Amino acid sequence: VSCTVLVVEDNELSREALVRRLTRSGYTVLEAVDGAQAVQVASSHCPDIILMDLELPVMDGWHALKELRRQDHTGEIPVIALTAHAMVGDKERVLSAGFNGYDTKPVEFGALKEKIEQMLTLCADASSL
Amino acid sequence: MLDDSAITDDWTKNWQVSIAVKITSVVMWALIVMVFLTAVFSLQDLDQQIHQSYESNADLLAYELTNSLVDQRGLSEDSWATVVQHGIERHGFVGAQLVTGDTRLVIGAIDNGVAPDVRRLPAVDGNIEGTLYLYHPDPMQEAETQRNQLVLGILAVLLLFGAFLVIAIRTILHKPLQVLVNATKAISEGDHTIRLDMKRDDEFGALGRFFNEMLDKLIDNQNDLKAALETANSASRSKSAFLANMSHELRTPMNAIIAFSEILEEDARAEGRKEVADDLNKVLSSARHLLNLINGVLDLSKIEAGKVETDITCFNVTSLVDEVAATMTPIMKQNGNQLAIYCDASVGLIQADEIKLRQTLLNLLGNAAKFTKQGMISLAVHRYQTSGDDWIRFIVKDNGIGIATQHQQHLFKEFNQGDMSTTRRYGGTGLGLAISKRFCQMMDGDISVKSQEGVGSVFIVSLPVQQIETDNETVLEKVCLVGGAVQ
Repeated sequence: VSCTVLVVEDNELSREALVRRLTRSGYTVLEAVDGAQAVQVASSHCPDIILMDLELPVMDGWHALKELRRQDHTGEIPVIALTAHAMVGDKERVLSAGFNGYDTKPVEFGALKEKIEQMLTLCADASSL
Repeated sequence: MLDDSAITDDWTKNWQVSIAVKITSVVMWALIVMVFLTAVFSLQDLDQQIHQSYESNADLLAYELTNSLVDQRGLSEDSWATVVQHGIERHGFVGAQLVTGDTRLVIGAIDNGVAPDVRRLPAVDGNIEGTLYLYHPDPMQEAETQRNQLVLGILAVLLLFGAFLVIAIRTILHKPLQVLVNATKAISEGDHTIRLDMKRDDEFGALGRFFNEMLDKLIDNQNDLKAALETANSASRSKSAFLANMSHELRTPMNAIIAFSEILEEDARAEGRKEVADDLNKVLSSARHLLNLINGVLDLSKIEAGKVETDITCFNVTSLVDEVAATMTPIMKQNGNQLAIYCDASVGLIQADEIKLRQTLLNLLGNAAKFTKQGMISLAVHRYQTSGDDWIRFIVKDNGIGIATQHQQHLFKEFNQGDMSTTRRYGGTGLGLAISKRFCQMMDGDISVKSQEGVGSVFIVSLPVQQIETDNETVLEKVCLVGGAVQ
C-alpha cells in the first residue's frame, strides 16, 4: 500500500517539481495551494504525511498547522515544514511551533525522501503500540 | 537665557584661581615693592630733616633760656633745672647739660651716644655765661620709626585698595567670564538652547553676541547634518529592504530551475544520455552557487536593514562545541583533515546568541576545512579577563593555504575572499565572514584574524561572557549563573 503525501505549496512550478518526483518515487500525492485548502484536504483524505510551505496565501503554514493540530483526525499527522530560505534561527522557531520536521527549498530530494520515510516509520511504530 | 544671576559661583572655594585675585595680586605686589623702595631711599632725607629740625630747636631753646635765665637771676639750682627741663621737653630733647663757670647742671638723659647740639649762652650784663649741651634722640632711629609708621599706613591703604580692586575686577571681568564659562560647559554637555545675555557694550557684549551667532550657525549645521544622515540612513534602509525583497523574488525561480534540472538530470541518466546528464549537472551546480549568493545577500541585507535581532540566552558552551564538532566531522573528512577540540568543561555557561555563535563557528570551521588539505584543524575555547570583565575566546586554527597580509584587512568585507582567484578555485560566496563578523558585533564581541600565507590561519572570536541587557524584561527572563558552574 503506497503512502499518501499532501504537498502544500503555492508556487506552481515548485509544487509540480515536488509532486512529480514524489509520484515517481511511488507515493500517492495530494495537492493544496494554500493553508485553508491544506486543512480541508487533510481532513477529508487523511494523508500519512504533509509537506507544507510556510509562506502561503489565505492561511499561512503556521496557522494551517494549528488548525490541523486542533482537529482530532488530523492532529497526529506528521508535518514537515518547507521554508524558502533558512535564516539563522528559523529551524528552531519551526520546530518549537510544533512541526515534526524541517527542510529548506530547494529541497535535496534524496534527503527529503529519507526524512519522510523516517517519519512514516516512527508513526507506524507509534500507532502499532 | 543665561545672565549673571545664573552663575554657580564657587569663587569662595577657589579664591586663589580667580582672575580678579590674580590681577589684584600682581598690582598689589608692584605697589608694595614701590612703597618699600621709596621707604628705603627716603630714609636719608628723613634723617637730614630731623637733624635740621633739632638744630633750629636748639637755637630757639638757647634763645629762650638766655632770656629766662636773665629774668630769674639769683634763683636756686633746682629752679634752674625746672626751667631747663620744661625747655627741653617743649623742643623734643631728651637731656641737657648747662655749664656755667665751674657749675655743671645735668637734666634728663645725656649718654645716648648722639653728639649734643652745643650753644653758647651769651652773657647779659656779665652775670651769666655758660655753655648749653642739648641731647636729642638718635635721628636715624626716629627716622626709622617715622618711616615704619608711614609704611604701615600706606600698607593699610593698599589693603583697602586691593579689596576694592578685587570687587571692581570681579564686576568687570570675572562675572561675564563666568557666564561664558558656564554657557560653554552647558553646550559641551549637549544643551544647545543656551543663549548669552551680556547686556554690555564692551568687548564682552560683542563676545556674547558672536557667541550666540556662532551657536545658531552650529545648530543650523547640526540640523543639516542630521537631515543628511537621516536621508542617508533611509536610503540605506531602502536599499537593504530592496535587496531583501529582491533576493526573495530571485529565489523562487531559482528553486524551479534547480528542481527541474534535477528531474531532467534523473531522466537523462535513466535514459542513458550521459552527456546531457553531465551538462545538466553543470547547470545544477551553477544554479546552486547562484542560490547561495542570493541567500547570502538576503542574510546580509536583513542584518543591515536591522531585521535581525539577537536572542541572548544562557547556554552551556561544551554542548554547543560538541554539537558543532559533530556537524563538522563529515565535512572535515572531505579534504582529509583532522579536527581537534580543546574545550575544558570548566568553560561552563555563557550568555550569548547561541544560534549566531553556532553559525559563526560553523562558518569558520567550514572555511578552515575548505582551505586546508590533509591538515590539522582545531577549535580551542577558553575564558579570560580583560579590564575586570569576563570574556570567552573561540580560536579556530588551521594549517591550510593561509591569507596574504594585504588581503587580511578586506577579509570581513562583503564579497571578499583572499583574492579573486580564490573564489574561482574554491568557490563560496565571500559573505560568510562578513555575516559572522556582524553576528559577533551584535553580541558585543568581534572576530579577528592572524595568518601567514602557506602556513595557516587563526580566527579568533571574542565575546563577553555576560551580555549587558538594556531591556529589563529580558534580563529577568534570562538571568542565569554565569560563573564557573557547569550544569
